[in-house]
Amino acid sequence: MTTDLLLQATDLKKSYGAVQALRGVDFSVARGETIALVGDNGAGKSTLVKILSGAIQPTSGSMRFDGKDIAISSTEVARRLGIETVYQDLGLCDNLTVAENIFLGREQIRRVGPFTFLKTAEMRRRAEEVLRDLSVNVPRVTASVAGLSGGQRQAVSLARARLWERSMVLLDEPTAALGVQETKRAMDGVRKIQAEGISVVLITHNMPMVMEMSDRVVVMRRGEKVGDVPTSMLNADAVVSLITGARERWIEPATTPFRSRRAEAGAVL
Amino acid sequence: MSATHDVSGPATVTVPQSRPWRHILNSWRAEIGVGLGLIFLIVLFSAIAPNFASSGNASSILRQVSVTAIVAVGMTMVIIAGEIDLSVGASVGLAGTLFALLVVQHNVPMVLSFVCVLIVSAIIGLFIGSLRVIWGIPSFITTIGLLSALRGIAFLISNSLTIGPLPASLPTLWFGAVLGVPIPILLMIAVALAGWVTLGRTRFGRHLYALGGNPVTASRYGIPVPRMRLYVFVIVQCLAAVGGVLYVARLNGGSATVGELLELDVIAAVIVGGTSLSGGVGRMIGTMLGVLFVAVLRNGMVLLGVDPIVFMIAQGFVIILAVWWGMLHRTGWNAE
Ligand SMILES: Nc1ncnc2c1ncn2[C@@H]1O[C@H](COP(=O)(O)OP(=O)(O)OP(=O)(O)O)[C@@H](O)[C@H]1O
Ligand SMILES: [Mg+2]
Repeated sequence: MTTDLLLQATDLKKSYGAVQALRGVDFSVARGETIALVGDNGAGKSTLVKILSGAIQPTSGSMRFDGKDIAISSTEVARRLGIETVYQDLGLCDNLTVAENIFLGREQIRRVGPFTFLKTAEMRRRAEEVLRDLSVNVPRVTASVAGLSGGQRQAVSLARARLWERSMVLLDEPTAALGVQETKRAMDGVRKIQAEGISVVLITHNMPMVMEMSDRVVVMRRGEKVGDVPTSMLNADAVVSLITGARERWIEPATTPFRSRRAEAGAVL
Repeated sequence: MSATHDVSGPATVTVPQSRPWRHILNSWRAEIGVGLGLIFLIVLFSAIAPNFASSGNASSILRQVSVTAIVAVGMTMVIIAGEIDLSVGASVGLAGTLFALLVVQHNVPMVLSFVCVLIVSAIIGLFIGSLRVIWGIPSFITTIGLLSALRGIAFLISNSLTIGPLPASLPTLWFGAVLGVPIPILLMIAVALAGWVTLGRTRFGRHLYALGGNPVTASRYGIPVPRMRLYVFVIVQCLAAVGGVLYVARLNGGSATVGELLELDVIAAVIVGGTSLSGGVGRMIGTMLGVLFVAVLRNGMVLLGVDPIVFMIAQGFVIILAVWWGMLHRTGWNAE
C-alpha cells in the first residue's frame, strides 16, 4: 500500500534575524490534492512555499516526502522530487526568450565527441507545444520575455512548471496581476495540472478561486497555521474570518484516505 | 550564420503586431550599428588615407589587433555575466614577464613555461572570482586593485628590465604564417570561434546570459552561479596570458610595461560591439566588430598622419556614442 500523503512537513520554523516568518507550522499535502494557502500580506505563505521548493532552508523542522524522511536542501532536490514552482516574482530572465526561459537550467543537449551543444530547434518546438496546450497567445517563442504582458509572462512561468511537473506544483499568487480574462485562462491551466493527478499548492487572495479550485484551505496568520479545513466544510466568510483573526483557530483533523472533491464529483456523474 | 543565435537584445519589441523581421532587426541593432560604422570607416579611409586599402595593411591591422581580440572574447563573457575585469592589461604584462623570466633566466622549456603562466593566470582569476563569490566584493574593486598590484609584481620580478632575447623559434609565433595566414590572426579566429560557439550554442553560454540577466532566478533553476563566476575570470585571465606570450614573441622579450591601457581597448571594443555593462546582453560577433572598428579607426588616423591624441579623443567619443545608441533603443522601448 502506498501512503496517501505526498508531503508532510512538521514544526517548520524560519527566522530572518529577529523576524519569525514561520513559527512551527505543520503542513501536509496528499497525492492529487489541491491546497489553497491563504493569509494576509506577510503571513508567511511565500516563505513556506520557498521552503518546499528548496529555494530557502527552514531554521528547524522536519519533512517527509513519499513516506521517506528528506531535506529539500536545494532547488535541485525539489526538482528531482518532481516539485515545480511558479514563484511570486515569476522567476523569469527578461533578457532570455520564451523558449530559453522554459528550458532554463534543463536545456536539452546533443553530444558531439567531448562537446555538448544546445538542441535549440527541439527546445523551441517543445516550448511551442506546451504553450499551445495552455492556449496562451505568445507571439513567438523566440521573443524576449521582456516585451510580454503580465498574463503572457505568467503563462510562460506556468508552462515551465507544466513541462517538468511530476508530483507537485507550487503556485505563488499566479493570478495576482492578471485581468479577468487572463485569470480565467490561468485557472484553466491549473485545472490541467489537477487533471493529471498532480498535487497543487495554490497561494491566492482571490476567494472565488479558493472556493472553486481547492480541496482544502490552509490559513496562515503571522507565521502560524490557524486554519486547516476541507473546502467543503467552509465558505468564503469563514476563510476571511480566519485570515483576519475574527475567528481564532479552526484545524480539522486530517481525514484519510484523502478523496478529491473533483474525483467525487466525477464519480457522481 | 548567426541569425539563429537566439539571445535577443535588451529591448526586443514583442507586441503581437510587430513583424518578425522587425523583431530580429531590433535584436541585432547594436551589431548592425557597429557593422555599418565599420563599413563607413573602411570606405572613408580607402578614399582618403594613403595605403589604407591594401592587403598588407589589412593583414597588419588584424595582426596588431589579435591580442585585444583574444582578450575581448573573455571580457565579453565576463561582462555578460554582469562582472568586469580591469586588470587584464596588467595580466598581459605580468604573464609576458613571467614567461620570459622562466625561459631566459631559468631555462624552463617554452611549453612548460607557458603552462606555468597559465596556472598563475588561472589562480589570479580564481582570486578575483572568490572575493566576488565568498565575500561579495565587486569585481570592479578587486580588479582595479590588481590593475596596479599585478603590474607592480611584474616590475618587481623583472627588476624593471626587459627580459630577452628568447629562443629564435618564439618570434615565429608572431611573425610566422600558416598557409599564408599569420599565426596571431589564426589564433584570434580560433579563439573568437570558440567563444562564439560557447556563448550561443552551449549550456555554459546560455547560463551566462541567465546569470547576467537575473542571478536569483538563475540559481533557483539550478545554475551553479558561484562556480560560473569563478570560470569567467579564469577564462579571461588565461586569455590574457595567451596575449602576454604573443607580445613576448612580437618584442622578442618580456617587459613589465607591456599591455598598458589594454583593458581600455578591450572594454571599449566589447561595449562598442553592443554588450551591455549591466549584464545579460551581448554577442561575440558584436565584440569582434567592435575590436575591428576601434582598430580601423586608429589605423586610418595613423595613416592620415593624425595626432594620436586626436585618436584618444575619438575613441572616447565612440564609446559614448555606442552606449547612447544602445540606450536610445532601451528608452524607446520603455516608453511604450
Ligand atoms: N529575505 C527576507 N529577509 C527578511 N525578512 C523576510 C524575508 N523574506 C520574508 N521576510 C519576512 O517574513 C515574513 C513573511 O513573508 P512572506 O513573504 O512569507 O509573506 P507572504 O505571506 O507571502 O506575504 P504576501 O501576501 O505579501 O506575499 C514577512 O514579515 C517578511 O517581511
Ligand atoms: Mg508572498
